[in-house]
Amino acid sequence: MPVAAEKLVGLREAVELVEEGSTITVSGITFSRNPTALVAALIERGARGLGFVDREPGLALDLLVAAGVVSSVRAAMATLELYGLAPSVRRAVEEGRVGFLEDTCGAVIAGLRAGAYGLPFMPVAGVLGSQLVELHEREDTWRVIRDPFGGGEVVAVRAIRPDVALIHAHYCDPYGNCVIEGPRYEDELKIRASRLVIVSAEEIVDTDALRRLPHPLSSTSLHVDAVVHAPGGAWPTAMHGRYGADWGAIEEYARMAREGRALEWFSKHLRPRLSGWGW
Amino acid sequence: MPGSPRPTDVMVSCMASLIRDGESVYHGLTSQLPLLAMAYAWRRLGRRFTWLSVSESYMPPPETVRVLPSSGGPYAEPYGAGVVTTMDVFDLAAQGRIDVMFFGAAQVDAQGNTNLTVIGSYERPRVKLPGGAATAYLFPLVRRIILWARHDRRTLVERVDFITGPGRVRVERGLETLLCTNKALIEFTREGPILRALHPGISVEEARAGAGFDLLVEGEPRVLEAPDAIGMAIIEEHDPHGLRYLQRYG
Repeated sequence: MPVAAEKLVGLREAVELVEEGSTITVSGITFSRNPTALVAALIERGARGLGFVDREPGLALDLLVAAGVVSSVRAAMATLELYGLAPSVRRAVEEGRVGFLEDTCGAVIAGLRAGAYGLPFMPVAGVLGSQLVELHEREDTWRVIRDPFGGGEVVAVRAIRPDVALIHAHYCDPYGNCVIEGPRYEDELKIRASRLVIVSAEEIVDTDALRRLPHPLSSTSLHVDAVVHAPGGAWPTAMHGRYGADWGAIEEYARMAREGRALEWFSKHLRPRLSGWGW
Repeated sequence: MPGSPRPTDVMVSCMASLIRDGESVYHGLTSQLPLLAMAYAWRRLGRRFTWLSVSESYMPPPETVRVLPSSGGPYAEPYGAGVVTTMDVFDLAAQGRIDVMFFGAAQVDAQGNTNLTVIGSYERPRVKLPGGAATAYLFPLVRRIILWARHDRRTLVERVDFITGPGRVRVERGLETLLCTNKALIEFTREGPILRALHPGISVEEARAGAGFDLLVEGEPRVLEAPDAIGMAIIEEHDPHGLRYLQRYG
């Protein structure tokens, strides 16, 4: 009898696990390895009012904000890169509909490390002198402390513990042992810092197949709560070694989102894919 | 025949010229110009450095680098010797072991402070900017920061609306902060912002008129070397569709 339980579920069942009021985080950066299948399912489910935390989100965040799924954001940058500011995020923040706490990369990493390491906070180098310090002291997410060993001032970042991590991986077995190939960003920290982890994967493999892969595991069954099979589940963002970003679709998104039509793009491009992912 | 260099291309060669042999160099997102500058430094200027990137590709063969709408995707810098995570690079930075980083800015002020956070107030932004990404984290840590920005009075301001990147801290610590604009090269020093060099055809008066702060001049500023035909051929090889011009630096 296997030690771990099988966690392979359908997309619908997976996103039902996301409770009201949760703060979520997603895998990847701007246009790379976004968990778009899981994000599309959250939007289709009609989730509302979630929090969001990440280092350098792009497409997934803009879609979630456009759909009203996310109403508060903490990130170091939210951008569509060459296509400009993330239009839905920008509009929602300027209109006061969505709160945005700007963070900085090193501090996001420190906060996720504290979360993953089971520590209440983690000091971070740099940062002092930026006005971001005032914002975070007000939110009580950072404090400027003295080095207890006699050094100078340092910023302490309160642990970031997202309620849910949505991660798209290359391979996963039914128990949650997953492999991410190529760039990993902070995904392995997100998996460890989050209370609930949902992994979608390009391929569901049996554990024996993992024995033959020459990669370290990005998660083990101990970390993961649900596993979903979602081939192409990062589309239109890039999946290292599998597919590049679909720039045509992304450019169309940027244009439509600027016109306030992000959800139309969703209905045209992502909703039709949901059935292929077992919705 | 390669095209003739435009101000954007001079910005690329300007940024490239600031990379030195043996340095560790990292670029972030929306960094199509720094990506080109790194390729240009390697191939046209013969500089040899450790190539690091938000795409997490370590030492990609510079010839294979391509400008794409994302400078952070896995296909902009393929064929790296392996993956080095941003976390890993930023830990090196915390130890003072990253030499060069590039940052864009919506506003830069006389002290070299940069703003990528908001125009207007944070609570009621007139424009919510993308956010500074690693700006606040790395400003106090990296030896040389190369900024790029538009040379006009909306961008080069007396005081930034929000200090995302604390340039003042850098100046106090003697860390180098240089700004490549579409008209000039400016260095932020204890004495103030110094006009180090001009794009070909730009006068000191023009550079001064385009800045919302006083630009100091020491003697005659140099004229930046525009990419020659070989240089332009290299830039075009990396960016055949001219995506570098989309940011409208000319």
